[in-house]
Amino acid sequence: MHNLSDDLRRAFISLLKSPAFTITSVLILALGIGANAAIFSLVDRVLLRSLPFPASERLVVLWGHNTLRGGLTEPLSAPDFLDWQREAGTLEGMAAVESDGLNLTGGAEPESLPAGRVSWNFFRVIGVHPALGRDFTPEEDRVEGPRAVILSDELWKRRFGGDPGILGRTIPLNGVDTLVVGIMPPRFSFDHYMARASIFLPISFSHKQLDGRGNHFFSAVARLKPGATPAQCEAELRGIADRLAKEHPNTNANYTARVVPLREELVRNSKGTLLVLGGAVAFVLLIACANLMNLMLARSARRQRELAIRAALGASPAGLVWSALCESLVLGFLGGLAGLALGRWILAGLLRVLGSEAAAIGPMHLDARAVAFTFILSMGSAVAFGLIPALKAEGRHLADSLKEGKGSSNASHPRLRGLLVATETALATALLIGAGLMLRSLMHLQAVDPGYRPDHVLTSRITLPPYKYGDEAARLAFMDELRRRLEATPGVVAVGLNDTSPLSGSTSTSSYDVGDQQSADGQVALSHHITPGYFRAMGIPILQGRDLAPGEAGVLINRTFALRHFAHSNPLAGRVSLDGQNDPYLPVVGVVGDVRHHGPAAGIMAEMYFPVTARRAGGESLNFFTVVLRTGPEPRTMVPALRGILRDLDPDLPLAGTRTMEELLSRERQGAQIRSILVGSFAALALLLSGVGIYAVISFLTGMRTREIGVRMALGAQVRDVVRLVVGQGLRMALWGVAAGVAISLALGRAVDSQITGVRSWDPVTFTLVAAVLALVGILACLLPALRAARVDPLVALRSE
Amino acid sequence: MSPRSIIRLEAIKKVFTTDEVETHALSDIHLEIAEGEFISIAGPSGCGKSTLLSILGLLDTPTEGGYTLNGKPVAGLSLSERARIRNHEIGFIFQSFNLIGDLTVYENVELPLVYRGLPLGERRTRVMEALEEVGMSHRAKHLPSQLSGGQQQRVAVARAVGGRPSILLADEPTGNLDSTNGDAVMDLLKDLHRRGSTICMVTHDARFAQHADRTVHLFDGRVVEESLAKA
Repeated sequence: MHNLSDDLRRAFISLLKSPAFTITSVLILALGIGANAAIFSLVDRVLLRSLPFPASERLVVLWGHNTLRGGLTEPLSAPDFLDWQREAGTLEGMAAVESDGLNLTGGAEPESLPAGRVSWNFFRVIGVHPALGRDFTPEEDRVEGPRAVILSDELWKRRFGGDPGILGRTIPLNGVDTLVVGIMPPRFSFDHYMARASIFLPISFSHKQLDGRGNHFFSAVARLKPGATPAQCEAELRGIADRLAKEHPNTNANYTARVVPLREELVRNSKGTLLVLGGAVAFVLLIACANLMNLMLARSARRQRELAIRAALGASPAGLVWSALCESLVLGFLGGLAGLALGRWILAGLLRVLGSEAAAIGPMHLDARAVAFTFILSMGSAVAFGLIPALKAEGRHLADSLKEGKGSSNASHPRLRGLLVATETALATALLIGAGLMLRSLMHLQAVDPGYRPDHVLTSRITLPPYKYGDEAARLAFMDELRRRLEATPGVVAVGLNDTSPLSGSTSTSSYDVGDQQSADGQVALSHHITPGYFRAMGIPILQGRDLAPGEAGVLINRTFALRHFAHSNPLAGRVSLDGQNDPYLPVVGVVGDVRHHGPAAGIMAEMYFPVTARRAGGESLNFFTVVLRTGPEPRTMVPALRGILRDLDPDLPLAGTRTMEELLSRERQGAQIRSILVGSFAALALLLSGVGIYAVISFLTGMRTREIGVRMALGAQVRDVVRLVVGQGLRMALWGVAAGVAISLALGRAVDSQITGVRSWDPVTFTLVAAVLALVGILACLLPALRAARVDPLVALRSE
Repeated sequence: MSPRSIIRLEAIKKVFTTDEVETHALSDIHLEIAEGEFISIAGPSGCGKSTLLSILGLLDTPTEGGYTLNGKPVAGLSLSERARIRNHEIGFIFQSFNLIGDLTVYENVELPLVYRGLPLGERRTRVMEALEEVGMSHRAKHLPSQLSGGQQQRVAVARAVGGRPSILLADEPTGNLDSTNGDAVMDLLKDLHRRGSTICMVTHDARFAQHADRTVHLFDGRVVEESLAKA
């Protein structure tokens, strides 16, 4: 083998002599490499890197699972948790996790803090300990134990100026002085279970919770013993669950366990999107490589005579291949460098598009792993696009090539080029179809009727701390006064309260009884507790009957509920109870429209609207609710008035999650929007690259056919005949590609299915439109070379031999 | 009654200008070719034979002078009209055959008829007739690369006659062939002439030029002699 650095230097000098070719190649490669480097950084951070916990592969999440309710996982109850914790031999430790919200008072403004409630051993189980202070003791995890809190680094620095002296002092949380025992390290998060928690408190099961085997309300994280597998753990927990089902058939029948590795659980939501994006940029790189292979083929065809002279002077075939490959490697290296620069820019753009999703991932840049990945990818690409042209360059007939001016039809490799064009068109078609489906999905989400009028609606969450609002009368009095004052505020059109308003993140699903067999069989429905005026405030139509009157003990049901139970009777003659035994039957006073509670992509469920005075499922007290205001002016302008009224009523109560309904809806569509933007951008890039590819190939092939075109014109071909000939050649290649792309899209349908809503993965409209767009791009890309060919002077062409 | 004139050139002049240098390729050419005539244009290399043939074939335009084809002047015609006339009135036979490599023999012969817009059935009849005429019908499905040089030139002749043009223009039709194949192609042209084709052949080979009824000798772009074949 030659001296490598010498060969690469010669290749570099040779490329410098063809600046247009070199710059074009580097740019094309940089586009493909840059997009891959950026997406790799995301994939690496989210899917590949180990979690920031020691021996994280042994961390698992434990769920309950009711075998009668399909594949859904369910939270755990305190008694089951304790039984599992005590009996599971495959577990080294097991901790409970629940998200909560608390009010921090004592400052100029009360602040509603997202909180994580965890069992005392949680930090030991995950293997992360406070950076300052200590974690919880078992005593602090008892309901009557001392009150302790651990602060996040962010809250400690923001609210307490990073003062280590805060340790050992108390802060008022929900009005209760709570001892600060620790500060977590910077960037610690366990977001999937405790969304951006600022504080961590012991979960401290109440006596009621410890007795309520049917009260499922929290998740559990566990660490497997070394050597134990999630499957072994699940088998063991299922054994325990089976025994508990026999011992407690009322609460535990059909209830079993499911064990999921923590990584799998954490990436569940983003994995599909990232894999689709990874596939998209891989397609872009393949298209770039196909383009580069075409350029290399053209370059070697033009240098056919030079290579033949080298061979005649004694260059070995392997030497010729190697020198051609060296050029590819140098191009790959330069493309990799440019790709890294472009990748940084693309990553910054991606993070901007991802917005809050990116904030959850944390600060990101192209690190050493991304650089290494880019280098490997660049060199791999260089071999991919360089090897075949190098071998083809070597394999030409020496004597033919040495004849001055002899154009060899072999040098143009029309079949190989056609295959490359078809390949890149196929990849671009598949990407465009994916992007088209996501766009159609987004359009569907924007067109879906959420069941309410989101314009001019402001929502804000209020939590009533038990130390002040422990009894129901105080809570109801507060709600009534709040509602009354808001109704009297200029600019407020209607006011309503709801403990589980749409898109608030709160849901309450209950079994119920309407006195028929179907409801007795364990049917469930969403249950809300509202005040009169809620439907007017939200813009939910009352289809039949009327709204609740103040203080009235009645219930409204939605259309789906009415159809389920009162399809053949008058719903207004019906009655609903939460369980038919401990709960009174309330008369149905109205039927309202269906609401997509969980967002436009979610399905419609049966719903029941009880007054705030009615008992909640499980007997839980109503200590948090959402205020819904329909406003005359822009809803955001009403925030100060709302805050002022709340301050007047109770200066210790903060507003939390203040959003307009339009903002909440837009956030729900954000995922689909991001997917559409990202895949659409990569598809546009793919379309551009494949258009350039078709143009380059057709230009080259048409150039090689100049003489043939001259002959055709001498025989009487008109301009239209020549244009038809050239465009037809390009279009044939493109259409083969489109057909292959359609086949790829159909094959990848399942992967796309998880990313779209309201549109089928084989949506004929999208497929047809994309095929038409690709055909149009193919025609446009061929048109310029075709018109150029049509201007060929037949005499000149015939003399070109 | 004297035969109809197919081509009439009057005072044709062709000047190539490059970098302010004028090259007079043709000067004061007068030429008339009658229907059914076999004329050869002879002369040494660079005397203007091919330029003259290009002008005759409407592949090039004269700088000055008049050109009448089938009684109609062709000066000032659009590119499209010139293409149409080439297709209908002129059959080309090139020195290097100029068959299209990825079309079969049949498709090559069919090509001018496709451009003429003839229906499929008529094209098929004419192509097979032309191939029969040159003795190549048995090779209709072959590609040019599968034929010898002589066979390729026969196919080129079939392509030229398939459109039943007013005149066949042959540019050194034997130039790329060995003597045996050259003689065979020459026999073919003579045979076509016997059956009524009008042929204008450019050649620098006196041996082939003598087969024509009349030979026009060019030298430095001028007609220096016209000779009739010996009876």
